[in-house]
Amino acid sequence: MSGLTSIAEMVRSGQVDAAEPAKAAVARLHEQNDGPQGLNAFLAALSNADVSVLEVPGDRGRLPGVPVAVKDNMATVGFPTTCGSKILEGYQSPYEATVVRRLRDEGAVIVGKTNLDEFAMGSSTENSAYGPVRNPHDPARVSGGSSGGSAAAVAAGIVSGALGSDTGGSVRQPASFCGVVGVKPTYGRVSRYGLVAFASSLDQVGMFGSTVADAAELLQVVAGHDPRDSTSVDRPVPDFSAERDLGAEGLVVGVPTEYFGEALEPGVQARCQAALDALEANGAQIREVSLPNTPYALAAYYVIATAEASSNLARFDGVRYGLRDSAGEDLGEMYERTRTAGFGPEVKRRILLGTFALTAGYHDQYYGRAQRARSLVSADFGTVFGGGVDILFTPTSPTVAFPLGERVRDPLQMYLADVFTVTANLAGLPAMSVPVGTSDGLPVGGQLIAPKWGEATLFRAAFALESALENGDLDE
Amino acid sequence: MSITREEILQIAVLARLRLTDPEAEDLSHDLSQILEYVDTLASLQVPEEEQLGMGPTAAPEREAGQIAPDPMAHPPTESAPDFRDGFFVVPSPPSLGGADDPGGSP
Repeated sequence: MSGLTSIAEMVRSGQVDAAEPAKAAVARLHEQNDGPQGLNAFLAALSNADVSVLEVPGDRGRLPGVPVAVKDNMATVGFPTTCGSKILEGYQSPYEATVVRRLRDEGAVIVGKTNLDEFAMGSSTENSAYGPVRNPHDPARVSGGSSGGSAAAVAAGIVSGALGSDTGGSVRQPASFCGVVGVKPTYGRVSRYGLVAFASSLDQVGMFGSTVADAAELLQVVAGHDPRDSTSVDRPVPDFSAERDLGAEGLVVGVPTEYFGEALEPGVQARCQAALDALEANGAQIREVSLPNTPYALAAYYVIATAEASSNLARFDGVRYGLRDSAGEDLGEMYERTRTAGFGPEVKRRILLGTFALTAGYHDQYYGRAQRARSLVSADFGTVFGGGVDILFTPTSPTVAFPLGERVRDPLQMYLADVFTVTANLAGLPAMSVPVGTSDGLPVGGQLIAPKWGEATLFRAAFALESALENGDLDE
Repeated sequence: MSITREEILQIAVLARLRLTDPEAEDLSHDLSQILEYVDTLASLQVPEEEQLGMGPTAAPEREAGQIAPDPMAHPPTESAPDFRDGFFVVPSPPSLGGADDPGGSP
């Protein structure tokens, strides 16, 4: 029993009891997740006892009884919301994120909250205060990050769909490392209400699916205007699954030369080339293009994201949420003691970097320049899409999943894992990672990037790519 | 661009974090390495018209005519029993000759 729509159909038609898919998912979850050699993809989950008494209506919404996992930085009633941080250990949100509410309204069963890099800051899920997530394809390797728990949960077959958040590639990069589909919608397509903020101008809720159709179904459910999020935009949500059979015929696929440089692993390069060949064989027109300001994107991203994080995380001071260390003599000391004890090393590093970039003497040199670079990166995309390109294709990450511990002491090397994904966040564009095969047995993802609000084209290309690769030799 | 241990400690005060000496040393090294990479922005050629660009997502897109008053916004006259000349009117405190029981808004 797999695939969100298949499960929903079986429940709706009465072929299976409405609670059965969630029971099976919870059993798989505890079998694969728990223990010292488990995936550690979940920070909290329903127990077998919880799910045995679950009452699930079989006729409710688009996803009746369908088990779904949610990244642990989204407010979810009934589960703690920790953001993978000691500072929010055991924190229970009094309200629910709009995306979680929409899933429940459509009948989905939230089976657990998934592990993540602390406050979504990282590219390997090794920055979680609750231990790293193992990659289901090789438990000695990272699952990617920061939504590594959601990616691993889907890759391991525990659930067919999960929510993540993507600030600089945190859905697409782990999707690539774990061999699943990962979508970052256009900024404003999905409500951020109840998503704990990391970098508010870049954050967007994304979704993982075992197939393109699963990811399309999840986006269909959670997309749309929310008056509780002033950055969510009121515009129609297309029917993404309607793109399934349109194929690649006539699609103009741009291939930016800047994404195919020396840093790319040969196995990743080969699988991406094979994916382009498959699209071309199915009628797409492949066109080499240039996005000349790409080399500035990662630097701009790490200035803007950390500057916003230093402001957003100021609220965690022991007064309103979670941990409080009040052993000091005054309020200022309580703030310092709480934040020092509660935040992990990467969060502290980013808060300090962001605080530095915003200090009076360096604001123009760093933050001002980063904002100008952001404008130029966006303008590059505008030029290419305005020149007749329908969709861009790039590798999602320069490498396959790397070994646990390899980069954790070298923050710059870790940041470079995001080099191909941050551009879509800077420009607010929709993008998706689609599995394009394996290199030495490890998954490789290809990234599709569409114009703003172009999710329909994004899904058309993704369905076509998935179909074109279905019968090919996918190992390098 | 390198950042010294002393600068790290100053920034930590602004960020309300305490660092041990080894942490300050490590962070000085890490942030210097990251800032060296970020310095690639110094070679950015910015066209005149882009000088004040603040990125494409600074404000959400709105169709003309879509912008409506915030339903949560209320004038202060609706939130208080008495509001005059830009001030909330409250009973005088007893020390100034007011009644013991103010009976009005706090």
